[in-house]
Amino acid sequence: MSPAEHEACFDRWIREHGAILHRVSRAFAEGAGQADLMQELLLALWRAVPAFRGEASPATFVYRVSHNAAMTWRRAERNYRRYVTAYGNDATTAPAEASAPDQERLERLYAAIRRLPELDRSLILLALDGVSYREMAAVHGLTESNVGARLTRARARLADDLQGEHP
Amino acid sequence: MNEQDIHSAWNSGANRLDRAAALQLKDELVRRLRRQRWRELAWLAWTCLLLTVLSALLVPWLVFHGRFDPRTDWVLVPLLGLPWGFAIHFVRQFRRRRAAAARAALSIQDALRAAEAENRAAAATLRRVALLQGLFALLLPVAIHQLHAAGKVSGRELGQMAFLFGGILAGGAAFVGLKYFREVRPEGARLAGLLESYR
Repeated sequence: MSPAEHEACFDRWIREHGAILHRVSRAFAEGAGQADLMQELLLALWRAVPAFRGEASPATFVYRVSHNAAMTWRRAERNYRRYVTAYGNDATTAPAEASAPDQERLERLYAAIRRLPELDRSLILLALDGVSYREMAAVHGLTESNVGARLTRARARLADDLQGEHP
Repeated sequence: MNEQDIHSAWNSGANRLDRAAALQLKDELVRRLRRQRWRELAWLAWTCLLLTVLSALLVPWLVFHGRFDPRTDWVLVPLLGLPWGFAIHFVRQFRRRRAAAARAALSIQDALRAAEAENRAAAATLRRVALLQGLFALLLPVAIHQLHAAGKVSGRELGQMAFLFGGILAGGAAFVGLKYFREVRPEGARLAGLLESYR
């Protein structure tokens, strides 16, 4: 893959699937860490572009790369913190037109997701994005029945956590 | 918050990406990565060139002009080999970073297994480096003594050399120790924990 093709592919994926990275960064990090993680996800995706062989859809590939990077991301070791410069948290903030109650509800949901163990967190994110069990199984290297069983437990845990809060 | 609330919050405008900011961030990242890559390549090329020129000048001068007696000056060989060892290590690290991208094609579970294997290899490398450093800490006094005995280094220079090389070795040992105990081992435990959650 030539450098121009590499960059064109990366650019297309950010335009079409950038929301995946945004959601993953919010589910796996909080506060200033979200910008750090967003950078890490962008970097992971940039490096992963040559490994894309078209066996899965680009969206599945982006899910795999971003969830993998988020699960192994360590806040303590931020090699790429220097990339978080002028743009800071901008890439992880919601569009200006989003209403305050929506933002507040969403933040509560993300906070509850962040309290789940990493694997459950990843599965819940994929489920909320409407990814099929088959794709989830391929992304994680699990069987579909295993995905189903884990998701049932994770959903129950998330619901319990959210019901314990004030509306 | 019930199931319906969860989905409506998830699909609300608040959960959309600010695309312009993300693209700006992406452009900045690509520019910086390119610059960083060129800097790394230039640094590696410069280091290798410098070592090649130094070795090409030093080795014939020592060997063909009768300045090198293997019985008394043998310690110069490992001392010259040390910077080459580090240069090769950095080149391999540079290439390994590109190979890590191939992991993206694996499932997350397999990628975690690969990362765990890589972590074990990194820990083993650090242990080997620590062993080498210990070896050089033993060789250094011998080398300095040989130079002094051969009249190539004065008494004053002897102290300066011991201070300089001793400091470099101590700094290297501190770096290796910190990396091993504060980075590589905790990361290994973390990866093992993540893999455990798949069982």
